[in-house]
Amino acid sequence: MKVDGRRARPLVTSGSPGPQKASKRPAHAEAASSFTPAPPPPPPWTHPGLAEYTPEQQRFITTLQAGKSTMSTRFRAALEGPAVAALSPKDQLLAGLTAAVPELVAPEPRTVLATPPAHELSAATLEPAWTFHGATAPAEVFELTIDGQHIKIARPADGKYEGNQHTLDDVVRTLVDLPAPSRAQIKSVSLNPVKNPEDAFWAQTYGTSDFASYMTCGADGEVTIYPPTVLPLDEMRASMTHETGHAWSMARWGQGGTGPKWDAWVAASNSDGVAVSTYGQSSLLEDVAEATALYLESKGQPSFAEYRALYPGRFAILDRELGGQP
Amino acid sequence: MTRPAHPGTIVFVDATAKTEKTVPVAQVPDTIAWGTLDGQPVAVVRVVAITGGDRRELHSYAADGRLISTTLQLLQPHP
Repeated sequence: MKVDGRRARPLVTSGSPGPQKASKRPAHAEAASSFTPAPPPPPPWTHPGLAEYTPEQQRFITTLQAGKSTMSTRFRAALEGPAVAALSPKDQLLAGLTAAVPELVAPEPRTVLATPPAHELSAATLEPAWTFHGATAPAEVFELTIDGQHIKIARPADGKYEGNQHTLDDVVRTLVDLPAPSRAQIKSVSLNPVKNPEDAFWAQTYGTSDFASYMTCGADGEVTIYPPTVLPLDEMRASMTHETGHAWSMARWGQGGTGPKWDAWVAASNSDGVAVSTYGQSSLLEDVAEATALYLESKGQPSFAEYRALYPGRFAILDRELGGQP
Repeated sequence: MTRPAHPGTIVFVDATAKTEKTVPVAQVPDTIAWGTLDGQPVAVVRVVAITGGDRRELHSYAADGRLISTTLQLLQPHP
């Protein structure tokens, strides 16, 4: 993981603190004699390598050091590890950041269980010739209603898949659990009976056959899930949150990552100073999708406030775009 | 559903390797060459692949720059 090298305006401008104001406390408050003052707070955490980083990154690092989130825990553990001691102070912090910032935004452990929204799954309707991706077959089609939103779910009627596949229950639970702004992007989910037939073309075009399609999200709101990979449900949910992050950002900010809204995001990203994930560094669009996943996946959890403190620029934009603070 | 004419080629971009190649649409599977936007068929003219760690994403775009779909691929364990 590289620390984002883009520089931004200073977080804190220099200046004198100004004249001291006279105390407004009443005189009798000063006379309280039985009060035992609290011990002074411990000195702020510091590190000899801190000065090597930009002010934004210093803010990030000190916030990270004091936090309780998964990211903070990984940071402190890395700094305390024996391998770090031999490094220069700057590289010690870089090792901590590398350990802290994930390869990919992953669901934060949920210590606060949200009340699931009201939902209802219809009985199956049999469609004799349903067009799946790469196959036409009889299908059972359901309608899931969540908070007034209707989502169609299709699965092969014979229940046969080309490898492992998520269940109908997986899909229902994930959609119910999905953050509302992400769910609003989805109109249908199809449990595809066959692997993505395009994988062979992708392997040939991009020179590696090691990847298999897991999910396609159409801008029209159609989600297709392919065998043979079955992820844990929280990762399935995070994947949907990430992919729908592309859909909303491009729909609202314009396509291709250019325009004033995208420029504002770049400025916010610069002021935050550090990437959300390694994968998020791969492009501006992925940075938005990863930040969206972090924002929505941690919302309602204690870690949300910490991530807001770590990424104030990005989260301020997401507050405006995705419905404000919890 | 009637399709509009396809421009004839698709540019495949590897954003990670920073390479691209242009392929005649006749050599591309139909399901890659076409997508749907607003319920209407639309020609795919650009696909961008972004690889990071154990995942790769493929973003398909229309001629007017609109995103048509994203496909998430996962690295498969070797048998």
